[in-house]
Amino acid sequence: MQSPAAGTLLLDWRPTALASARVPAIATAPALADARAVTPDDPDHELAARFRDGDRAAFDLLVRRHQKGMWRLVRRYVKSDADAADVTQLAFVRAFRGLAAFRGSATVRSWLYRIAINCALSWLRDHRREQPAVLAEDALIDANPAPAQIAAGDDRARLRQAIEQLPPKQKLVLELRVFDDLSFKEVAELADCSENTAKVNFHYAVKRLRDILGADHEP
Amino acid sequence: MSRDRGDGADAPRAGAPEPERPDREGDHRRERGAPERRGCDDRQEIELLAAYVDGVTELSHDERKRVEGRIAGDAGARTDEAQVRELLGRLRDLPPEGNEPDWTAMERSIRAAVGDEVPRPWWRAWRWLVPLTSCATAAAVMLLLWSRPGGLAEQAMPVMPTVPTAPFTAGSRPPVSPPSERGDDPAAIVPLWLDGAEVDVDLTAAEILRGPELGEYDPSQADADDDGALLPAAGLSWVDRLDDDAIARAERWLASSAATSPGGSGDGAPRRKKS
Repeated sequence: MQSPAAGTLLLDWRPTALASARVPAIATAPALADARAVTPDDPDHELAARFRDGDRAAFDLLVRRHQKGMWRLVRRYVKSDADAADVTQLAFVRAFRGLAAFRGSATVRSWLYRIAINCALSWLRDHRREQPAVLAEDALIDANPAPAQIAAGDDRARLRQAIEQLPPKQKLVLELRVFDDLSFKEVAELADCSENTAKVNFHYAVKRLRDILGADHEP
Repeated sequence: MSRDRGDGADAPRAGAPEPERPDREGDHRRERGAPERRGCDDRQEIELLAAYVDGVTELSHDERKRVEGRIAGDAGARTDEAQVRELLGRLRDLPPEGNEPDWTAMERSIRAAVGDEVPRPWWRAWRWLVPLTSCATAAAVMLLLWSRPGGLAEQAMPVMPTVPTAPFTAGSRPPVSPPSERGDDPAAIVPLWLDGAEVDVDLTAAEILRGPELGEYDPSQADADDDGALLPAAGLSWVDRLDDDAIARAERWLASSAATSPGGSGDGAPRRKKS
Protein backbone atom coordinates (compact mmCIF):
# COMPACT_ATOMS: atom_id res chain seq x y z
CA MET A 1 0.00 0.00 0.00
CA GLN A 2 1.44 3.32 -0.95
CA SER A 3 0.61 5.71 1.80
CA PRO A 4 0.21 9.39 1.10
CA ALA A 5 3.24 9.89 3.20
CA ALA A 6 5.38 7.81 0.93
CA GLY A 7 6.63 10.43 -1.43
CA THR A 8 9.61 12.66 -1.43
CA LEU A 9 9.75 16.22 -0.34
CA LEU A 10 10.01 18.19 -3.50
CA LEU A 11 9.26 21.69 -4.51
CA ASP A 12 8.89 21.80 -8.21
CA TRP A 13 8.68 25.12 -9.97
CA ARG A 14 7.95 23.74 -13.38
CA PRO A 15 5.93 26.06 -15.58
CA THR A 16 2.48 24.65 -16.00
CA ALA A 17 -0.64 25.67 -17.73
CA LEU A 18 -2.56 25.50 -14.49
CA ALA A 19 -4.75 28.43 -13.67
CA SER A 20 -2.93 31.69 -14.08
CA ALA A 21 0.36 31.00 -12.36
CA ARG A 22 2.92 28.32 -11.92
CA VAL A 23 2.11 26.16 -8.98
CA PRO A 24 4.70 24.67 -6.66
CA ALA A 25 4.33 20.92 -6.45
CA ILE A 26 4.84 19.68 -2.96
CA ALA A 27 5.05 16.02 -2.30
CA THR A 28 3.85 14.39 0.83
CA ALA A 29 5.33 14.18 4.17
CA PRO A 30 7.58 11.26 5.01
CA ALA A 31 10.77 13.13 4.35
CA LEU A 32 9.71 15.48 7.05
CA ALA A 33 8.34 12.70 9.15
CA ASP A 34 11.53 10.73 9.26
CA ALA A 35 14.27 13.27 9.26
CA ARG A 36 13.56 15.72 12.00
CA ALA A 37 13.00 15.66 15.67
CA VAL A 38 9.67 15.07 17.32
CA THR A 39 7.72 18.23 18.00
CA PRO A 40 6.44 17.85 21.53
CA ASP A 41 4.75 21.26 21.70
CA ASP A 42 2.44 20.42 18.83
CA PRO A 43 -1.12 20.55 20.14
CA ASP A 44 -2.10 17.76 17.76
CA HIS A 45 0.75 15.52 18.77
CA GLU A 46 -1.27 13.77 21.45
CA LEU A 47 -4.13 13.10 19.04
CA ALA A 48 -1.73 11.61 16.53
CA ALA A 49 -0.25 9.40 19.25
CA ARG A 50 -3.70 8.25 20.32
CA PHE A 51 -4.53 7.42 16.73
CA ARG A 52 -1.37 5.38 16.40
CA ASP A 53 -2.47 3.46 19.46
CA GLY A 54 -5.70 2.59 17.71
CA ASP A 55 -8.01 5.35 18.92
CA ARG A 56 -10.19 6.00 15.91
CA ALA A 57 -11.95 8.95 17.56
CA ALA A 58 -8.71 10.90 17.69
CA PHE A 59 -8.81 11.23 13.94
CA ASP A 60 -12.32 12.69 14.10
CA LEU A 61 -11.00 15.35 16.44
CA LEU A 62 -8.22 16.14 14.01
CA VAL A 63 -10.75 16.44 11.20
CA ARG A 64 -12.91 18.76 13.26
CA ARG A 65 -9.92 20.87 14.15
CA HIS A 66 -8.38 21.24 10.69
CA GLN A 67 -11.05 20.74 8.07
CA LYS A 68 -11.81 24.42 7.82
CA GLY A 69 -8.21 25.46 7.35
CA MET A 70 -7.59 22.68 4.86
CA TRP A 71 -10.68 23.55 2.88
CA ARG A 72 -9.65 27.21 2.65
CA LEU A 73 -6.15 26.19 1.61
CA VAL A 74 -7.48 23.87 -1.07
CA ARG A 75 -10.04 26.42 -2.16
CA ARG A 76 -7.28 28.82 -3.14
CA TYR A 77 -6.05 26.24 -5.62
CA VAL A 78 -9.35 24.72 -6.70
CA LYS A 79 -11.73 27.42 -7.84
CA SER A 80 -14.87 25.58 -6.89
CA ASP A 81 -16.42 25.05 -3.48
CA ALA A 82 -17.65 21.55 -4.21
CA ASP A 83 -14.36 20.48 -5.74
CA ALA A 84 -12.52 21.95 -2.77
CA ALA A 85 -14.69 19.86 -0.46
CA ASP A 86 -13.93 16.74 -2.48
CA VAL A 87 -10.21 17.42 -2.48
CA THR A 88 -10.29 18.14 1.23
CA GLN A 89 -12.00 14.84 1.87
CA LEU A 90 -9.45 13.04 -0.29
CA ALA A 91 -6.66 14.70 1.65
CA PHE A 92 -8.14 13.51 4.93
CA VAL A 93 -8.50 9.98 3.59
CA ARG A 94 -4.83 9.98 2.65
CA ALA A 95 -3.92 11.43 6.01
CA PHE A 96 -5.93 8.68 7.70
CA ARG A 97 -3.90 6.04 5.87
CA GLY A 98 -0.60 7.71 6.59
CA LEU A 99 -1.07 9.02 10.09
CA ALA A 100 -0.07 5.77 11.75
CA ALA A 101 3.35 6.07 10.12
CA PHE A 102 3.68 9.76 10.95
CA ARG A 103 6.46 10.16 13.49
CA GLY A 104 5.73 13.69 14.57
CA SER A 105 8.78 15.33 13.11
CA ALA A 106 6.79 18.23 11.72
CA THR A 107 3.60 19.55 13.23
CA VAL A 108 0.51 17.58 12.38
CA ARG A 109 -1.04 20.70 10.92
CA SER A 110 1.78 21.35 8.46
CA TRP A 111 1.77 17.65 7.57
CA LEU A 112 -1.96 17.78 6.85
CA TYR A 113 -1.59 20.98 4.87
CA ARG A 114 1.16 19.45 2.80
CA ILE A 115 -1.12 16.54 1.93
CA ALA A 116 -3.89 18.99 1.10
CA ILE A 117 -1.65 21.01 -1.22
CA ASN A 118 -0.51 17.87 -2.99
CA CYS A 119 -4.05 16.65 -3.41
CA ALA A 120 -5.05 20.04 -4.80
CA LEU A 121 -2.18 20.03 -7.26
CA SER A 122 -3.00 16.48 -8.34
CA TRP A 123 -6.57 17.51 -8.85
CA LEU A 124 -5.50 20.50 -10.92
CA ARG A 125 -3.33 18.28 -13.09
CA ASP A 126 -6.19 15.88 -13.62
CA HIS A 127 -8.71 18.59 -14.39
CA ARG A 128 -6.62 21.19 -16.15
CA ARG A 129 -8.88 21.19 -19.19
CA GLU A 130 -11.99 21.55 -17.12
CA GLN A 131 -10.91 24.66 -15.25
CA PRO A 132 -13.32 27.55 -15.60
CA ALA A 133 -11.82 30.76 -16.90
CA VAL A 134 -11.92 33.10 -13.93
CA LEU A 135 -15.53 32.80 -12.91
CA ALA A 136 -15.76 31.95 -9.26
CA GLU A 137 -18.58 32.13 -6.81
CA ASP A 138 -17.18 35.15 -5.09
CA ALA A 139 -17.02 36.96 -8.41
CA LEU A 140 -20.81 37.06 -8.42
CA ILE A 141 -21.98 40.38 -7.06
CA ASP A 142 -25.26 41.83 -6.00
CA ALA A 143 -27.49 43.21 -8.66
CA ASN A 144 -27.61 46.64 -7.02
CA PRO A 145 -24.52 47.06 -4.90
CA ALA A 146 -23.98 50.16 -2.80
CA PRO A 147 -21.09 52.44 -3.81
CA ALA A 148 -19.20 51.52 -0.64
CA GLN A 149 -19.59 47.84 -1.49
CA ILE A 150 -18.26 48.48 -4.95
CA ALA A 151 -15.25 50.27 -3.53
CA ALA A 152 -14.61 47.48 -1.02
CA GLY A 153 -15.07 44.87 -3.73
CA ASP A 154 -12.67 46.71 -5.96
CA ASP A 155 -10.10 46.85 -3.22
CA ARG A 156 -10.42 43.13 -2.50
CA ALA A 157 -10.27 42.26 -6.16
CA ARG A 158 -7.17 44.40 -6.57
CA LEU A 159 -5.54 42.69 -3.61
CA ARG A 160 -6.36 39.21 -4.89
CA GLN A 161 -5.15 40.14 -8.33
CA ALA A 162 -1.92 41.46 -6.88
CA ILE A 163 -1.41 38.25 -4.94
CA GLU A 164 -1.85 36.24 -8.12
CA GLN A 165 0.98 38.21 -9.69
CA LEU A 166 3.48 37.17 -7.05
CA PRO A 167 6.17 34.62 -7.87
CA PRO A 168 5.01 31.15 -6.79
CA LYS A 169 7.17 30.76 -3.74
CA GLN A 170 6.45 34.25 -2.44
CA LYS A 171 2.76 33.66 -3.04
CA LEU A 172 2.87 30.36 -1.19
CA VAL A 173 4.69 31.87 1.77
CA LEU A 174 2.42 34.90 1.94
CA GLU A 175 -0.78 32.89 1.75
CA LEU A 176 0.32 30.32 4.29
CA ARG A 177 1.37 33.06 6.65
CA VAL A 178 -1.51 35.51 6.24
CA PHE A 179 -4.49 33.35 5.34
CA ASP A 180 -3.60 30.12 7.10
CA ASP A 181 -1.99 31.79 10.09
CA LEU A 182 0.98 29.41 10.15
CA SER A 183 4.16 30.17 12.02
CA PHE A 184 7.28 30.87 9.99
CA LYS A 185 8.56 27.48 11.09
CA GLU A 186 5.51 25.74 9.65
CA VAL A 187 5.67 27.88 6.52
CA ALA A 188 9.28 26.85 6.10
CA GLU A 189 8.33 23.18 6.48
CA LEU A 190 5.70 23.48 3.80
CA ALA A 191 7.79 25.58 1.45
CA ASP A 192 10.82 23.34 1.98
CA CYS A 193 13.16 26.10 2.97
CA SER A 194 14.77 27.44 6.10
CA GLU A 195 12.83 29.55 8.52
CA ASN A 196 14.96 32.56 7.70
CA THR A 197 14.37 32.09 3.99
CA ALA A 198 10.64 31.99 4.68
CA LYS A 199 10.91 35.30 6.53
CA VAL A 200 12.85 36.87 3.70
CA ASN A 201 10.41 35.53 1.12
CA PHE A 202 7.59 36.95 3.18
CA HIS A 203 9.26 40.35 3.19
CA TYR A 204 9.74 40.39 -0.56
CA ALA A 205 6.18 39.21 -1.12
CA VAL A 206 4.86 42.11 0.91
CA LYS A 207 7.23 44.51 -0.79
CA ARG A 208 6.16 43.31 -4.21
CA LEU A 209 2.51 43.60 -3.28
CA ARG A 210 3.10 47.18 -2.21
CA ASP A 211 4.81 47.86 -5.50
CA ILE A 212 1.99 46.31 -7.51
CA LEU A 213 -0.71 48.10 -5.54
CA GLY A 214 1.23 51.37 -5.66
CA ALA A 215 1.60 51.09 -9.39
CA ASP A 216 -2.14 50.50 -9.68
CA HIS A 217 -2.79 53.74 -7.82
CA GLU A 218 -0.60 55.77 -10.12
CA PRO A 219 -2.46 57.64 -12.88
CA MET B 1 -1.14 28.52 17.11
CA SER B 2 -1.32 32.10 18.16
CA ARG B 3 1.39 34.45 17.17
CA ASP B 4 2.29 37.81 18.61
CA ARG B 5 2.31 40.43 15.99
CA GLY B 6 4.76 43.24 15.94
CA ASP B 7 2.02 45.68 16.71
CA GLY B 8 2.16 44.85 20.40
CA ALA B 9 3.80 46.77 23.14
CA ASP B 10 7.19 45.51 22.11
CA ALA B 11 7.08 47.10 18.71
CA PRO B 12 8.56 50.57 18.59
CA ARG B 13 6.35 53.32 17.25
CA ALA B 14 7.25 56.09 14.91
CA GLY B 15 8.20 59.10 16.94
CA ALA B 16 8.92 57.08 20.06
CA PRO B 17 12.13 57.84 21.93
CA GLU B 18 15.00 56.22 20.22
CA PRO B 19 16.12 53.04 22.01
CA GLU B 20 19.70 52.27 22.61
CA ARG B 21 21.44 50.84 19.60
CA PRO B 22 22.41 47.28 20.50
CA ASP B 23 24.55 46.60 17.50
CA ARG B 24 27.70 48.25 18.71
CA GLU B 25 29.85 46.01 16.59
CA GLY B 26 27.87 46.95 13.53
CA ASP B 27 28.23 50.63 14.38
CA HIS B 28 31.93 50.18 14.76
CA ARG B 29 32.16 48.59 11.37
CA ARG B 30 30.24 51.45 9.86
CA GLU B 31 32.52 53.96 11.50
CA ARG B 32 35.53 52.20 10.05
CA GLY B 33 33.87 52.34 6.69
CA ALA B 34 32.96 49.02 5.22
CA PRO B 35 30.35 49.89 2.66
CA GLU B 36 29.79 46.40 1.34
CA ARG B 37 29.39 44.97 4.83
CA ARG B 38 27.15 47.82 5.84
CA GLY B 39 24.98 47.24 2.78
CA CYS B 40 24.68 43.54 3.68
CA ASP B 41 23.67 44.31 7.26
CA ASP B 42 21.17 46.90 6.10
CA ARG B 43 19.63 44.48 3.69
CA GLN B 44 19.35 41.76 6.31
CA GLU B 45 17.60 44.10 8.68
CA ILE B 46 15.20 45.33 6.00
CA GLU B 47 14.48 41.78 4.85
CA LEU B 48 13.28 40.93 8.33
CA LEU B 49 11.02 43.96 8.58
CA ALA B 50 7.84 42.22 7.44
CA ALA B 51 8.53 39.25 9.69
CA TYR B 52 9.12 41.66 12.56
CA VAL B 53 5.84 43.44 11.94
CA ASP B 54 3.88 40.23 11.51
CA GLY B 55 5.40 38.11 14.25
CA VAL B 56 7.94 39.79 16.44
CA THR B 57 8.22 36.81 18.79
CA GLU B 58 9.34 34.57 15.95
CA LEU B 59 12.52 36.53 15.49
CA SER B 60 15.60 35.74 17.49
CA HIS B 61 16.69 38.25 20.09
CA ASP B 62 19.52 39.44 17.91
CA GLU B 63 17.35 39.82 14.83
CA ARG B 64 14.75 41.68 16.79
CA LYS B 65 17.25 44.11 18.26
CA ARG B 66 18.78 44.77 14.87
CA VAL B 67 15.44 45.50 13.25
CA GLU B 68 14.36 47.70 16.14
CA GLY B 69 17.60 49.59 15.93
CA ARG B 70 17.09 50.10 12.24
CA ILE B 71 13.52 51.32 12.68
CA ALA B 72 14.52 53.66 15.46
CA GLY B 73 17.32 55.22 13.47
CA ASP B 74 15.79 55.36 10.01
CA ALA B 75 12.68 57.39 9.18
CA GLY B 76 12.27 55.47 5.92
CA ALA B 77 12.21 52.20 7.81
CA ARG B 78 9.53 53.58 10.09
CA THR B 79 7.44 54.51 7.07
CA ASP B 80 7.96 51.05 5.63
CA GLU B 81 6.93 49.48 8.89
CA ALA B 82 3.67 51.45 8.95
CA GLN B 83 2.89 50.57 5.35
CA VAL B 84 3.63 46.89 5.87
CA ARG B 85 1.41 46.87 8.93
CA GLU B 86 -1.42 48.51 7.00
CA LEU B 87 -1.09 46.15 4.05
CA LEU B 88 -1.04 43.05 6.21
CA GLY B 89 -4.15 44.32 7.97
CA ARG B 90 -5.90 44.68 4.62
CA LEU B 91 -4.83 41.20 3.56
CA ARG B 92 -6.13 39.67 6.75
CA ASP B 93 -9.42 41.46 6.31
CA LEU B 94 -9.98 39.72 3.01
CA PRO B 95 -12.87 37.30 3.32
CA PRO B 96 -12.03 33.71 2.51
CA GLU B 97 -12.71 32.67 -1.02
CA GLY B 98 -15.87 30.75 -1.74
CA ASN B 99 -18.76 29.70 0.44
CA GLU B 100 -17.88 27.36 3.22
CA PRO B 101 -19.47 23.92 3.05
CA ASP B 102 -21.46 22.20 5.77
CA TRP B 103 -18.70 21.13 8.10
CA THR B 104 -20.80 18.50 9.86
CA ALA B 105 -21.67 16.90 6.56
CA MET B 106 -18.04 16.94 5.57
CA GLU B 107 -17.07 15.23 8.82
CA ARG B 108 -19.66 12.55 8.19
CA SER B 109 -18.49 11.98 4.65
CA ILE B 110 -14.86 11.74 5.74
CA ARG B 111 -15.77 9.29 8.49
CA ALA B 112 -17.69 7.18 6.00
CA ALA B 113 -14.83 7.30 3.50
CA VAL B 114 -12.10 6.20 5.86
CA GLY B 115 -13.98 3.52 7.72
CA ASP B 116 -13.69 2.46 11.33
CA GLU B 117 -10.54 0.42 11.33
CA VAL B 118 -7.36 2.25 12.17
CA PRO B 119 -4.77 1.34 9.57
CA ARG B 120 -1.40 0.17 10.72
CA PRO B 121 1.86 0.44 8.83
CA TRP B 122 2.86 -2.80 7.13
CA TRP B 123 5.93 -3.15 9.30
CA ARG B 124 3.82 -3.19 12.43
CA ALA B 125 2.02 -6.29 11.16
CA TRP B 126 5.39 -7.99 10.81
CA ARG B 127 6.79 -6.75 14.07
CA TRP B 128 6.93 -10.29 15.49
CA LEU B 129 9.32 -11.23 12.72
CA VAL B 130 12.22 -9.31 14.26
CA PRO B 131 12.52 -11.22 17.57
CA LEU B 132 11.73 -14.48 15.84
CA THR B 133 14.47 -13.98 13.29
CA SER B 134 16.89 -12.98 16.01
CA CYS B 135 16.16 -16.11 18.05
CA ALA B 136 16.41 -18.35 15.00
CA THR B 137 19.71 -16.82 13.99
CA ALA B 138 21.12 -17.17 17.48
CA ALA B 139 19.98 -20.79 17.65
CA ALA B 140 21.53 -21.54 14.26
CA VAL B 141 24.84 -20.02 15.31
CA MET B 142 24.85 -21.98 18.56
CA LEU B 143 24.06 -25.18 16.75
CA LEU B 144 26.83 -24.56 14.28
CA LEU B 145 29.37 -23.94 17.02
CA TRP B 146 28.16 -26.92 18.99
CA SER B 147 28.37 -29.40 16.17
CA ARG B 148 31.71 -28.23 14.77
CA PRO B 149 34.66 -30.56 15.55
CA GLY B 150 36.61 -29.06 18.40
CA GLY B 151 33.78 -26.69 19.04
CA LEU B 152 31.61 -26.00 21.99
CA ALA B 153 30.24 -29.51 22.15
CA GLU B 154 33.56 -31.11 22.85
CA GLN B 155 34.60 -28.33 25.16
CA ALA B 156 31.44 -28.52 27.17
CA MET B 157 31.10 -32.29 27.38
CA PRO B 158 33.01 -34.20 30.11
CA VAL B 159 36.33 -35.51 28.92
CA MET B 160 36.22 -39.24 28.38
CA PRO B 161 39.46 -40.97 29.15
CA THR B 162 41.15 -42.28 26.09
CA VAL B 163 43.08 -44.78 28.19
CA PRO B 164 41.01 -47.39 30.01
CA THR B 165 41.10 -47.27 33.77
CA ALA B 166 40.52 -49.88 36.37
CA PRO B 167 36.92 -51.04 36.37
CA PHE B 168 36.30 -50.54 40.04
CA THR B 169 37.96 -47.22 40.39
CA ALA B 170 36.49 -45.46 37.38
CA GLY B 171 35.47 -41.95 38.32
CA SER B 172 37.70 -41.82 41.33
CA ARG B 173 41.05 -42.51 39.73
CA PRO B 174 42.88 -40.36 37.27
CA PRO B 175 43.47 -41.94 33.86
CA VAL B 176 46.48 -44.14 33.59
CA SER B 177 48.95 -43.45 30.87
CA PRO B 178 49.48 -46.21 28.32
CA PRO B 179 52.55 -48.35 28.68
CA SER B 180 54.30 -46.75 25.75
CA GLU B 181 54.13 -43.39 27.50
CA ARG B 182 55.41 -44.79 30.75
CA GLY B 183 58.27 -46.55 29.10
CA ASP B 184 57.10 -49.88 30.54
CA ASP B 185 57.57 -53.15 28.86
CA PRO B 186 54.42 -54.09 26.99
CA ALA B 187 55.13 -57.73 27.69
CA ALA B 188 54.53 -57.07 31.40
CA ILE B 189 50.88 -56.11 30.69
CA VAL B 190 48.48 -58.99 30.93
CA PRO B 191 44.91 -58.62 29.80
CA LEU B 192 42.28 -59.90 32.18
CA TRP B 193 38.53 -60.17 31.95
CA LEU B 194 37.21 -58.84 35.19
CA ASP B 195 33.66 -57.95 36.10
CA GLY B 196 32.56 -57.88 32.51
CA ALA B 197 35.38 -55.64 31.37
CA GLU B 198 38.81 -56.31 29.94
CA VAL B 199 41.47 -55.11 32.29
CA ASP B 200 45.18 -54.76 31.69
CA VAL B 201 47.17 -55.78 34.70
CA ASP B 202 50.71 -54.60 35.13
CA LEU B 203 52.60 -57.59 36.37
CA THR B 204 55.39 -55.50 37.76
CA ALA B 205 53.04 -54.42 40.51
CA ALA B 206 51.78 -57.87 41.25
CA GLU B 207 53.56 -57.87 44.56
CA ILE B 208 50.45 -56.35 46.04
CA LEU B 209 48.78 -59.69 45.64
CA ARG B 210 51.34 -61.21 47.89
CA GLY B 211 50.89 -58.71 50.63
CA PRO B 212 49.24 -59.47 53.91
CA GLU B 213 45.96 -58.19 52.68
CA LEU B 214 45.53 -60.84 50.01
CA GLY B 215 47.47 -63.64 51.60
CA GLU B 216 50.63 -65.37 50.51
CA TYR B 217 51.15 -66.43 46.96
CA ASP B 218 51.83 -70.12 46.59
CA PRO B 219 54.05 -70.81 43.58
CA SER B 220 53.22 -74.47 43.79
CA GLN B 221 49.76 -73.68 42.65
CA ALA B 222 51.07 -72.20 39.45
CA ASP B 223 50.72 -74.10 36.25
CA ALA B 224 53.35 -76.44 34.96
CA ASP B 225 54.58 -74.02 32.32
CA ASP B 226 55.39 -71.44 34.93
CA ASP B 227 58.55 -69.70 33.84
CA GLY B 228 59.41 -68.36 37.22
CA ALA B 229 57.94 -64.91 36.88
CA LEU B 230 56.11 -63.24 39.69
CA LEU B 231 52.85 -64.08 38.05
CA PRO B 232 52.55 -66.82 35.54
CA ALA B 233 51.69 -65.51 32.13
CA ALA B 234 49.03 -68.08 31.52
CA GLY B 235 48.35 -69.33 35.02
CA LEU B 236 45.85 -66.82 36.24
CA SER B 237 43.15 -69.22 37.19
CA TRP B 238 43.65 -68.17 40.80
CA VAL B 239 41.93 -64.92 39.94
CA ASP B 240 38.73 -66.83 39.45
CA ARG B 241 39.06 -68.22 42.91
CA LEU B 242 39.18 -64.83 44.56
CA ASP B 243 36.17 -64.30 46.73
CA ASP B 244 34.23 -61.09 47.11
CA ASP B 245 36.06 -60.07 50.23
CA ALA B 246 39.38 -60.28 48.45
CA ILE B 247 38.08 -58.18 45.57
CA ALA B 248 36.68 -55.63 48.00
CA ARG B 249 40.03 -55.41 49.76
CA ALA B 250 41.74 -54.96 46.44
CA GLU B 251 39.37 -52.15 45.57
CA ARG B 252 40.03 -50.41 48.87
CA TRP B 253 43.72 -50.75 48.37
CA LEU B 254 43.56 -49.36 44.87
CA ALA B 255 41.45 -46.43 46.08
CA SER B 256 43.91 -45.64 48.84
CA SER B 257 46.79 -46.04 46.42
CA ALA B 258 45.21 -43.61 44.03
CA ALA B 259 44.70 -41.11 46.85
CA THR B 260 48.32 -41.26 47.91
CA SER B 261 49.73 -41.02 44.36
CA PRO B 262 47.85 -38.20 42.54
CA GLY B 263 49.58 -38.80 39.23
CA GLY B 264 48.28 -42.27 39.24
CA SER B 265 50.70 -43.42 36.60
CA GLY B 266 53.24 -46.07 37.14
CA ASP B 267 51.48 -47.55 40.12
CA GLY B 268 50.75 -50.72 38.35
CA ALA B 269 47.02 -50.26 38.73
CA PRO B 270 44.82 -52.29 36.48
CA ARG B 271 43.59 -50.46 33.42
CA ARG B 272 40.36 -51.02 31.73
CA LYS B 273 40.22 -51.54 28.04
CA LYS B 274 37.27 -50.75 25.93
CA SER B 275 35.41 -53.95 25.45
